[in-house]
Amino acid sequence: MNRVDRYSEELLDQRRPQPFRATEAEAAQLRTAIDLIAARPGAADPDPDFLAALEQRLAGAASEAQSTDPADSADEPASLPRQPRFGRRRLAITAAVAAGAAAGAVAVDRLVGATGQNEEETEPTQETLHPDGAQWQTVLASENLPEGGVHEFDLGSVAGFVQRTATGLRAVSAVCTHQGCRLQLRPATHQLACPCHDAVFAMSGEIVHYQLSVELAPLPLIEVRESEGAVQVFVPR
Amino acid sequence: MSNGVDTGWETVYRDNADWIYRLVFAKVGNKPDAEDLTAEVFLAAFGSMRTSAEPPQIRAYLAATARTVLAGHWRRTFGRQINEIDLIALAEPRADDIADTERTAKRADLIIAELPERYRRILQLRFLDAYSLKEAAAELGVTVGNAKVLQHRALRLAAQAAHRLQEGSA
Repeated sequence: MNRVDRYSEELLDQRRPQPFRATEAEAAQLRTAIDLIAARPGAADPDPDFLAALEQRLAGAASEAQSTDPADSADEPASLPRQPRFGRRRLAITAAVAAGAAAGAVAVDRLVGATGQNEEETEPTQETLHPDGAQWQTVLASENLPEGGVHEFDLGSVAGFVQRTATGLRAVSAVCTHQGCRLQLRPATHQLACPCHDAVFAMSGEIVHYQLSVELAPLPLIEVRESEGAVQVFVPR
Repeated sequence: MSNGVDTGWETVYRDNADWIYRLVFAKVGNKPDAEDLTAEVFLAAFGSMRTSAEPPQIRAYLAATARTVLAGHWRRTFGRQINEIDLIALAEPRADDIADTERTAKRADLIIAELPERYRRILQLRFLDAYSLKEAAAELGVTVGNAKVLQHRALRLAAQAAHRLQEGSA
């Protein structure tokens, strides 16, 4: 029995399939087997016992998160009943950490991909804006930027997008690094698309897709922080 | 600090667990993986999600998390993406569960309709009607060995048919 056949039997019996490194042709067959089994009447109904057990598990995780939150007990009576506040508190953490991580990730990608010795000089790298005479300017109220949300801003001197991710805030320029066209947010994917030549950037500033023959630089990062309930970016007046 | 509409994670879970599970199941096709990945989605999302967000934002966030979780699952198990969660399609005016089920069924129908009769029958019996190999062989009047070979070829042809249908609709 080949491994696709074995996989089919595992799906048909609703057992957990064994991993293997699939070729493209095998992948196409797995995909089709999944499409067929998913059409089996009632197969996709969740098991109520599973749903209840997961709810219990999440309740456990929630109360743990609550009890290990030292700042909570410091300024509020411990007896106050409260909803667990998953990551709700956002102190004034500047996005420098997140920005640094993003830049680091880019650098690692480059390193892994680098083969020639002069690669580093010719590859466009991601920069962070450090404008002279910049100051922190408010973009919007913190509560209006939920987890995963993206907000477009235009402060005259600089236009950009700011996003709240699981690890903090990040902001990038809204100007395509090719010829300076203004990027448009694709709301469903949180990608930034250029109307001029179809380049697409991720919110990290990295290039997702482009068909140009020239190298594109990633979008510059903009420093962002949260202060007194407001999301602020570091841009020129 | 809160704007007072936070109904807590229990509500978020109860409102979203069913469709997230169905979404994941449609992509992996088996219960053990679907359960594990559903748990992974909620554990990951609840560590970072603002439960006071509006329901559409919560749905979008969970869908995006599920997409990431699924991609990780495929990388780990088969070293490549078998399929993916289409966030753009999900963001379109929301079809209810019935419509989703019907779409899945219709797609399976289209695929097997492309095949010669015997291949169509074996896939119908085994995948959709949950016949065992032995039962399917008896139904088709062939040996178990023959049924196995038939099923093997049928799936290969079905994958080609699915590819053609994909190309045609793209």
